[in-house]
Amino acid sequence: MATRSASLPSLTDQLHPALRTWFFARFPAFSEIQQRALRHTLAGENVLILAPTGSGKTLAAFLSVLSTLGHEADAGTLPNALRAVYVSPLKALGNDIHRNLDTPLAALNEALPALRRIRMEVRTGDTSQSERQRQQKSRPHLLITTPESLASLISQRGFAEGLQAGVVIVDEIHAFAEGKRGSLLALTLERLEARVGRPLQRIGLSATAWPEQEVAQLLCGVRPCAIASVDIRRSHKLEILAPPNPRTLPAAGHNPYRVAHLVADRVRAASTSLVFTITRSNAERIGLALQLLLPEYEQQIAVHHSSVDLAHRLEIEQRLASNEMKAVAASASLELGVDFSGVDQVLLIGAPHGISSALQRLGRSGHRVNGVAAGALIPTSLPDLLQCLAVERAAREGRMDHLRIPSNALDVLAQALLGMSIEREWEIGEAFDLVRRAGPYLQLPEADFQAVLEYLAGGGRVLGPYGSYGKILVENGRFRVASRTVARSYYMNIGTISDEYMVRVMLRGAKKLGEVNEGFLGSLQPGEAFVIGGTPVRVKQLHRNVAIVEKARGERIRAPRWTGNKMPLSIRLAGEELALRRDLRSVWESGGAEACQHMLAGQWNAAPATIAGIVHLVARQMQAAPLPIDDPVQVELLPHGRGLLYFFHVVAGRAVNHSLAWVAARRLGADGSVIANFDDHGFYLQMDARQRCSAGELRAAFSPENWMDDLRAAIASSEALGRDFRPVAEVGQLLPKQTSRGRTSPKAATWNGALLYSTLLKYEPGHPLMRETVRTFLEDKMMADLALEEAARIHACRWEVYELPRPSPFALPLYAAFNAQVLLAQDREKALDDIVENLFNEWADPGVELPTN
Amino acid sequence: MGRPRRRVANQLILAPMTERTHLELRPGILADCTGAVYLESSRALLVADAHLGYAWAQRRRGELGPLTDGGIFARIDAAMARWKPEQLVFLGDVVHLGRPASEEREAIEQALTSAANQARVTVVLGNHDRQFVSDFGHLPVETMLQWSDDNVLAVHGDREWPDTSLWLLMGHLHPSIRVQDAAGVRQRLPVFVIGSRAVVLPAFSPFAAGFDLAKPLSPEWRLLFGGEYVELAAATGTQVRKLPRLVSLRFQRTQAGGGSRSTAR
Repeated sequence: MATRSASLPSLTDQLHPALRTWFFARFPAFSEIQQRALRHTLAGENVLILAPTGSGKTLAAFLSVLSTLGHEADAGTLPNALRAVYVSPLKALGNDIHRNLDTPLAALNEALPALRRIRMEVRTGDTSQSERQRQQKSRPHLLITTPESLASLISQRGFAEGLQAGVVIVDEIHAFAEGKRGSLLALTLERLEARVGRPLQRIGLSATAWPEQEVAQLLCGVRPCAIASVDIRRSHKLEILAPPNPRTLPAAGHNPYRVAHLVADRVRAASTSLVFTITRSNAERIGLALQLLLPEYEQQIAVHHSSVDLAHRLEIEQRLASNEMKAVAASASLELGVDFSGVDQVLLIGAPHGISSALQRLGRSGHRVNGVAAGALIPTSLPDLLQCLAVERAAREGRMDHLRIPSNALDVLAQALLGMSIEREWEIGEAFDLVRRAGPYLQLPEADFQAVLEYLAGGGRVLGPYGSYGKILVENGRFRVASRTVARSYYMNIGTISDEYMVRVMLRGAKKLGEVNEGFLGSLQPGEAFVIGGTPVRVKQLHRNVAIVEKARGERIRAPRWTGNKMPLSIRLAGEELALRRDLRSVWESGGAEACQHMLAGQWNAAPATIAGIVHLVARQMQAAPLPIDDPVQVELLPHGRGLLYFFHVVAGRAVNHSLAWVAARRLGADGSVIANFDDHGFYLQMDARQRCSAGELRAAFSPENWMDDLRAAIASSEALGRDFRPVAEVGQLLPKQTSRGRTSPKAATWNGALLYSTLLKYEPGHPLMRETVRTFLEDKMMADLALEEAARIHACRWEVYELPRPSPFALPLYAAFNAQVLLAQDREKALDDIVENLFNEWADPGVELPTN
Repeated sequence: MGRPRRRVANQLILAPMTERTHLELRPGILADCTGAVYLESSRALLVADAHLGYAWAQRRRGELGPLTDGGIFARIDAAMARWKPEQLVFLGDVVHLGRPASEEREAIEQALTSAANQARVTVVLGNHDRQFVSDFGHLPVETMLQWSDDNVLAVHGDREWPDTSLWLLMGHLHPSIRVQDAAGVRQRLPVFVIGSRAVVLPAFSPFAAGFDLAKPLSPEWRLLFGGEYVELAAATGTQVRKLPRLVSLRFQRTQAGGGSRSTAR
């Protein structure tokens, strides 16, 4: 616990007396992060507060805000207006806010005269119409909201009059940073500041955010921003929980059934467990397995992910908060928010793809020993062991993932400009200056700004400068909204989140369970059961958008697959894993298995079971080829049917590998005759035996010269961008998701999106939303800048090509994933396991002595 | 399940294509590469689902896409120049939305008038044409609910059609198939669906991406082709070609387990 330092009495003194009393009745002293943050927040400075969940950082922000409001109320200067805004990425803020805000606010209000009490309201997309009208009258001093609702509020005349916000708190800012929501938020904050007419104090909160300066810039633009943080290293403890006999782990795959017994044992022993998986599908799988293995807790085991019905999810969170659950299997949907005090164990199934998200997940546990959140990584395959060890070391040494914050997103800009035009009339130059103050738009070229304005005005190069039905009117260097219809449509279409096309799954009796892809339902055999939200069901009736199901039991039950982008292995983690591989390879080459065991136990602090598994895998690998590292670039040449396959071991994450493979495949076979596939740890090029390349030709496929052009050409010839255009067009207000006539069906929207894409490609490829689609794809999705660096590195590096009769153990995960696509066997997972096992076992076991536990 | 279908697509792309601007569906009944049908005996050119004015109509609904005709007027002209028909029959959905705005009205009027100068223009009213008579009734265009000659009965397909011994020509359904090559390039191709009693024309409009035949199909398909294998002919705008295999269509399942599944033979 922190001790009071010399500067503390002044911090304490600055707090409103009622809050001071409330605080010290509960806590002996300010926590470390509160000490560091309060001196900035109380002084009215911008600050980014970085500290783990449960460290009291939210209170550090709220204490100063409440205190300021309290002082104003005392002095009788508190206006009847909105003074402070709290922005959260989560719509369902209920629990979190009550805990952090309700009690101190109540304590403060008790000390204030009845007429000067501080009012707080929650406003999100779920807030009802009547509630909204009541809020407009009641005029809260403190508003809890989301970026989307805030953007909507600023444009509304009724609300805008009562805006005198002096401070804004952005919670979980890392959750906004990597997406377009961050851009929307930054622009909205600038609009808020312009509306209020004086500087806004900006407070950002996050558990893990790196690099700090870039996040501070997202929050504040070029304004000064202090950073208050505590050392993340001391706040987390991860262990790797490998099965007692790690040799039973498969050489590839992410099937959580294999570790289900291990997980069940841990769940039984703890009072409440959060079990995180990489995918929604695996959350369903492990949830089902736990229900089967722990029948006594069947009713207390639930599944929580973004395709489970929202009401059901909230119910699960409620039950978690009130300690009624035994275990909840979740994917990313439970990653954000405060800790659940009753959760005493967090298990991460499968190697995490990023360090920050792993730590974020640990933070949901309420179990703290000296403020340390502990959890276990449970690998589902042998290669997972390496990745887990890399995560564990990076976390231990405090190395965080590098957030990639998008800049100059033109679709969000279009949305914001439209919002501004509804708020009032703007001078073009004034609006441009406002936009350029927002962190992600500091470098926005004026031409891009003009292009977006021109687009919104209905122009375009196709038919004349200003076509019909523009959304804004531009006259004499000023712009404003074209009509009230446009304004109405804008309010219905604020936001940056796009929906997939889903079929709702409902139990008879109209209880919604969740959503699955249409394609998955189509792949079910008649009467076949699947699991959704932890409930096994069978389809009774299939309507256009709804599947009516009944509960199923006893038979084979499938887990749906949801299409969604798998999070790529983070760049930082790729580097960590490469470091581990390099260590292993050099130590193995000099001292063999025994030296490796020593090194893993020493330098890498690995447990015996982890060591046994890794040595087992490496020993097999060495039978085939050396352990692949980055330099030399290791390539395997494999026979594949009548053709052949070049397998590149490149540990760079799936986004980079996707780009590399795409360009190489295009360069080697422009006619589409070379097939490429990729994952986080490598990619391969499959071709006809006749197309066998010389070493020089193969190397040229990675030449950095014209590489970016070739990538652009490769994506231009693919329909991928057509699909990516829809969300951009929706955010950019070109394709409204909802109109006054109702919601556009996602199917129609996809259809319109693909169509508009091809039309624009033909007639106006330079349209700002077309360029934004390409930018999103190249920068955010394909990480093209990093991929180009990697291409140059591969091109310049020494290569070692091994001609092998079958893939080496380290090539198996990707090779097997490819085979999974062509398997038509009834039980794909099982068949895949057999293939992997056979291929792995064909590399003779060298008979290494393994440590026993 | 998806795999055999994809293989069809590969062959389609990779097979060398000979230049073919039309295809004989039956003696005297020709499918044009633009997606139109030409009837030799009555010298009539049939165009289904032109959806003229689409771009403007979408803007009126609040979308802000480019204002372009998508080249449809040029394609009508090309087909007219190739066949020099006496009669041009729009087989329903000639316009996209009623009560056009001024530029929209101008473009559509110009197109219909220019066609009327070259041939007799007939409009079979479709579900998008409810306002057509009041919007464009002043133009030299004949409107009706179905059109026929000695060999065929042509309907739009949005309402019940009479039993007939003639060959049925129909629009409304916008048939297309999705093709994908090995490099991942995917696109939709409008197709003619050719059965023993009927043929469904692809949508002529470049904005009607089309309904993927690989998806479960609505009940009218069963009425047209239930139980038979159909042939597909893709119309690319410059070529029309029969696809290499017979296809049994997959109908919408209303009950789990009921209905038939697609087969690729």
